[in-house]
Amino acid sequence: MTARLAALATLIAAMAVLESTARVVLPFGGTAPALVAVVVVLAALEAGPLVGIRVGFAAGLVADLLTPGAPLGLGALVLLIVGFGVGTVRPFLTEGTLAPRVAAVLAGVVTATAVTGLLGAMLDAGAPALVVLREALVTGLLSVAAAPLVAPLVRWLERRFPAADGAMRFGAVRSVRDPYGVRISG
Amino acid sequence: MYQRRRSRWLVTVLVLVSLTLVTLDVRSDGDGVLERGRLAALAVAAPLQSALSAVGRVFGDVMERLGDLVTGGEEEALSAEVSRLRLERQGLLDLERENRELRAALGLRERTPFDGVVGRVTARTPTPLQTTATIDVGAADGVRRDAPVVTGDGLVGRVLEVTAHASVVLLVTDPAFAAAARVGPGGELGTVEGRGGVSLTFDPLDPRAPFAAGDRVVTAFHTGGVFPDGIEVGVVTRAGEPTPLLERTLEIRPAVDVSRLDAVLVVTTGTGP
Repeated sequence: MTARLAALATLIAAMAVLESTARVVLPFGGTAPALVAVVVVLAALEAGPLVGIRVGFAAGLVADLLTPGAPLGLGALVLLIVGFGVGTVRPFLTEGTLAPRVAAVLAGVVTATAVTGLLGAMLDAGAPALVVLREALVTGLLSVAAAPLVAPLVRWLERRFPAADGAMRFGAVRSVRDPYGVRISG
Repeated sequence: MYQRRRSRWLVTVLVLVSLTLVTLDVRSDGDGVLERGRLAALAVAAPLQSALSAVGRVFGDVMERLGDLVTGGEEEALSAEVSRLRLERQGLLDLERENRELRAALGLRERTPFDGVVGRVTARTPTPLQTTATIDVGAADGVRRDAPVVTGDGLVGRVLEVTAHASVVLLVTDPAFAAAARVGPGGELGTVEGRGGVSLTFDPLDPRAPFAAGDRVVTAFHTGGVFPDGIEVGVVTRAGEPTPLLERTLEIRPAVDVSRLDAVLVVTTGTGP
């Protein structure tokens, strides 16, 4: 559990720093892939809603901490709901096919970016809705392009340090003693 | 079933926790334990962002050069030699560019009547709602909160947060940004504000004053304000007409393209007129 927490924290923090720097380095005028949101969507796809919620909350808090001026907790709120949403529709996505995963990343990131922007606008002086939506769409497309680079990291983390109560992997057996993924103890 | 019930429960609890945090943060108004946590996170992240952006810039340059090589379409036998020479030439061009940029930064320091420190942008914040940039100079270099940030072209924003070796700049385009400004030859006073997009707005004190597209907008000093007189803010692109209720909003194109920031000057002298 501690190893999972440490690995997860490292991954999220690395993605948050990478994301903020990418906005300067990439030639898209301050827009960059929402790597933190991508981690949340992929974790939820990999291990279900419970993991999606927790990773979303943690990732949102880290992102909020690194966003000067934004209300702390707003990103956490939005990303935990995105993690929950993606984790909930996960059983309806076919494992091994690309299109539903691409759709999940696009929908998750666009929702997260747009909702954060619009909620922030309600709390404070905000950007016009049209600007927020356009930004959200561009961020979503860039995130889809970046997701294949993040996916192996998330998959490795979820398999190397699985959450005790994560949803079972498609076609996987949790352990030899426990072939149906039913938790016997604890 | 068990999973679904637990996730609903967990969502409810964490949503309440998030809402509590948002409320506490919005109400605390910039100080308190949450703000200190944020400053600490910033202090930890800043050196990483600084290093990464430096690597990113080098990588970007290399990619550009590789792109040039690919489109070159040279014969195989000669391509290696040509590549080498081109890389060499590009390297020189890059040095020349860097030289020019540094000269510009130095010149800027001489041209503007303000004293300041030159910093480079190392990170940007995500949302269109919060447009800030992190720069690699901080309190140790003389940067303080609310200091004006400029480039050779004009106003970039003001310092929002300061740590020892990094600071966060609130850009002019941020919806939370506002400054007193003067417009046109008459020097009509008003407030210039960001609105999250590329353009800014100007609300004149006297909506019936004559304004025209192309009028220059410069900052205006006022007691308690953070900006000195005369920093270029932008140009009026749409002057508009006063409404029957005497409200008027002018559209301003910023002098500085904040989406392409690199070296900036943080003004460290007093902000007297």
